[in-house]
Amino acid sequence: MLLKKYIFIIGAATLIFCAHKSSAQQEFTLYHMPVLSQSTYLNAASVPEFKVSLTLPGTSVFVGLNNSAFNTKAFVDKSGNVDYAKFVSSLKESNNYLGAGASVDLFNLRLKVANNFFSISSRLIHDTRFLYPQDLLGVVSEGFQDQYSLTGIGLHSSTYIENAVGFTRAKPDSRWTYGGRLKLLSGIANVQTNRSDLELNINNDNIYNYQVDIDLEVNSSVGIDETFTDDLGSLNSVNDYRNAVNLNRGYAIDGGVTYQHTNKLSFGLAVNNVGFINWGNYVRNYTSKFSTTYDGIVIEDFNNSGNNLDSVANHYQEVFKENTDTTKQAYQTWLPSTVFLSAHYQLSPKVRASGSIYTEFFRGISVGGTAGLNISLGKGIDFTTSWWYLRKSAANMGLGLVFKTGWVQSYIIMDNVLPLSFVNINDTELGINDLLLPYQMKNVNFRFGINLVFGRIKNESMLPAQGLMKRKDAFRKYLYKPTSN
Amino acid sequence: MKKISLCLLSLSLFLISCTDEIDGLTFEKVSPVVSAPIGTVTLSTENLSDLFDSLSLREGPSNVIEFYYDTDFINLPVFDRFSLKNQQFANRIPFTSVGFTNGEMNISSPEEYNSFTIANKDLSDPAAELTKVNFKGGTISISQDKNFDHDLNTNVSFPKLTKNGVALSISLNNIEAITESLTDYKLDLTGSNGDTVNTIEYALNSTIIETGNSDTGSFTLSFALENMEFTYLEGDLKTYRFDDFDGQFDLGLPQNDFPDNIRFTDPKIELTAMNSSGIPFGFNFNGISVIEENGDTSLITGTYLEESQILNASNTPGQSAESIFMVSNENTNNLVDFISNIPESVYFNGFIEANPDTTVKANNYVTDSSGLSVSAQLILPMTGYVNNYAVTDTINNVNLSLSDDGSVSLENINFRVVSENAFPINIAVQLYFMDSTETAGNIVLDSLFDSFEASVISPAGEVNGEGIVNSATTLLSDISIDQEKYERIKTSSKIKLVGKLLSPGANDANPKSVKVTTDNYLTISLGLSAQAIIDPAKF
Repeated sequence: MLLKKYIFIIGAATLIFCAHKSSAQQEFTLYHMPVLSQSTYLNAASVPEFKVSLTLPGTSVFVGLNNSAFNTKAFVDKSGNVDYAKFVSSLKESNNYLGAGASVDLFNLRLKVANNFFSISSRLIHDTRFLYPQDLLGVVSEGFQDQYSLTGIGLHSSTYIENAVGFTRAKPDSRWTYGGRLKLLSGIANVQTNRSDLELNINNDNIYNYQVDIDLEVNSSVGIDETFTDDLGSLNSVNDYRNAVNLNRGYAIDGGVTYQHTNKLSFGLAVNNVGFINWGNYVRNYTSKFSTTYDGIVIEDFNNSGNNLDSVANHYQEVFKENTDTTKQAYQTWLPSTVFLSAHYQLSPKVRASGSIYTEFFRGISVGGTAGLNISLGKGIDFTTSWWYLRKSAANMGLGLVFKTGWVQSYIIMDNVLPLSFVNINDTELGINDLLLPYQMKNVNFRFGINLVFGRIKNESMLPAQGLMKRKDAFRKYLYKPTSN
Repeated sequence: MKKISLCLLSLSLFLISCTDEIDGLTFEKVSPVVSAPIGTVTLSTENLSDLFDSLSLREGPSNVIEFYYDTDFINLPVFDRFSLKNQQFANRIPFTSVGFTNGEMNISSPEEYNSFTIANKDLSDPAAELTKVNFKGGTISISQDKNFDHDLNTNVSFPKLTKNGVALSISLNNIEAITESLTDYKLDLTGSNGDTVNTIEYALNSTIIETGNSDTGSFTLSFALENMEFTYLEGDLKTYRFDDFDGQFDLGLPQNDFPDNIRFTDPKIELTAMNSSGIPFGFNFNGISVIEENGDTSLITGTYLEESQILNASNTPGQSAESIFMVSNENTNNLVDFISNIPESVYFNGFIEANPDTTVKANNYVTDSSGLSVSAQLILPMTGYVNNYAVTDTINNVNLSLSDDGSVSLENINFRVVSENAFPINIAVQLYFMDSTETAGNIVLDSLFDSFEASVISPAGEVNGEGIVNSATTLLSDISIDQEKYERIKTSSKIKLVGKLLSPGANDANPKSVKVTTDNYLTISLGLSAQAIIDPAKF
């Protein structure tokens, strides 16, 4: 009965967030690794294993690449048939994407004080996403006969510094653990394609003349004081930039809560990155809205037709320039907010299973599901594996390993770097020998680094001394595997 | 550590078990269709200006476009045929002392010289009847002589020889000679009555003062007009044969690219005379002959030979009178034929006659810059017909293979031509795809169109009875090359392009002429829609 209920909750949540849209960089395995202080980036209610966790500048790095369409399976079926047209037909009409992201911890300190954890952190975050419609790639297989649409094409890129203070309340005699992070954001640079309607219609009743309709709005900003200079070209030295720097201000919050339903089962909800950045420095708003026709090269001066291609190009450049306005209005971008709705089940004192529904809000809603298994192998070694489903991609397997030697906690996390299946391709005609390719992998994320950790939290002060064996503490939190002393 | 190793081993085994083998890749072809406008060419009559390098273009009567070529072929001074002769005359006046009163004697008399004349190189007789002369130079000299011992004072005045409105007056004492410049003097030769010619009127006023002993004698006044030059002559210069002329002028017709099967049916040679003298001239052709490139000469016959054209006299000194006359179909029998032979030049000869009308008294003038010029202009109005005039060009080193490796081939291609033709000329285009390799020679593999009718991509505008286009004709043509045809022509190494022009009615037994007017135009728009087959396996 209880299981049905959980299934219903998860199913309902899935139905609510049934759309699939583009998203920012995702990390899933980290969510299931509370042993790392970085897990608080995804779950503010995450309770670490150590009283003090310190990350020094540059010692924790995340790099991620993802896309919505490209993988081996999209092009090659298992019989070796390569079908580009089929790949194009599998693309969505719009909102396909290629993305890259990275973050570097500049500083991270987390302290336990009584039943509370306080943290202060700073990290440099970059995220770039290129959105493209089906027609962009379809031109090779379909060409263009009646209509060609690049509507939705766009670039979204942000670089900013996130400075955060966090608080987590983990009272042993309460079923609830909760936490939050307040984040002060300093925007360094941004490009935002706010609107891109680019339509080309072909007049098949004439000489296939093109009707082009363009409605474009692109914003950009750099963290340089507009009053310092109106010309970036005049910034010639590091000193120039240093004097001109005026980062764009933004704010965001994270929040998380965990509910210990039974001694084995807990639920979590984490909401992250609810916030925005106001881009007001060195802003350029490019808007272009016009319709024009292209009738080919028009030669009216029959005796002087030498430079018609140039003149056509110049003409359309002029048309574009004439119809493009550049303003300097500040604008706001919202961060890609994420929501984790999770359930954790302690299979044994050293093994915990987790399941979560991941929802992301960024130019639409993306929903995925994650299953994870966290195993404590003892002697400071934690192993976590996850499998997640997102954007019709099911072959996403992640791996996380944590080693602790003395005060040094090392870790490496590879989200979906180990896909569920590979293909080994041989083709003598093409000179391909044993080319091993992940078959369904679309995304790859790496997080690696070291933390300095001090003061393992003693079980007695916080948790049942014998873990699951202690029935009398059935309603106490069981947030991680307690070490046995 | 054992646990980690076990875990990783399990994972590896799991992954290996999930690996599928693919032996040999096969690639599906893609066949994109691309449609695009290529461009639009608009040809207006202004664009015809560079059609022939040597001919200029303009709008003629009734808006008909015409080519023309200018040449000057007569340029003659008129003034230098006339000169002013040196002339002398004298008066002898007798004296007797009986006439003294209170020791003085006054003698006054009006006089005239009525033989003032000029020399005309072309006419010695009859003499010109002059009424006015304006002097640019020369002198008048007067000398006084006497044979008595009394003092003598004489004043000679010329009331019609004036400078700035003041008559010339000269005083002489006893025996004396005085010379005056005639520069800027105007001489009225009509005498005291104003109705004579060649006459210089003057008056003598002499005073003899009794200072001697002579009882009788005489005194003499001698006049000399010398080195005279004129700025203006006026009078009746009489009828005379002014000049014979002959000469040759180029027609400017392009010898190489002027088409044989284009016939201009309304050619003209327009002669324009500019006469800056006050003498009307008769212009008479002995003949006009056309000279072809090979030297063959043919006489243009017609009534123009019998006509004397009048080159009008100028009414106002300093201005020229224009006279235009035409050698055309109206006054020739064979001009069209000869022009169609693309002659290189025209030879002409004839004579010019001054004051050809002998029935009226001439009132001529000549200035010191008077001249006569005649220019000729060959005019070819675009009135005529064109009968399958072909323009050919060859495109060598053609490679119609879309890719060397065969990775891209053509499924089909459709050229869409939209023509709007307001010229009175049908335009046909044909392409011949040829294999011209050394072994094959020039073998025609295929042509773009199967028939001439199909190749008329731009039919002529609707022509009215005068040969002028009433309304443009619009035609949309699809020219398709399917895969089968493409396979036939894709090995072409040369394409011969033939464009043909045919005016409506040009094929008739009596070909009809059409006219190209300023509002004629041609717009041809071209687009294509092509479907290629791309085989990635062949990349």
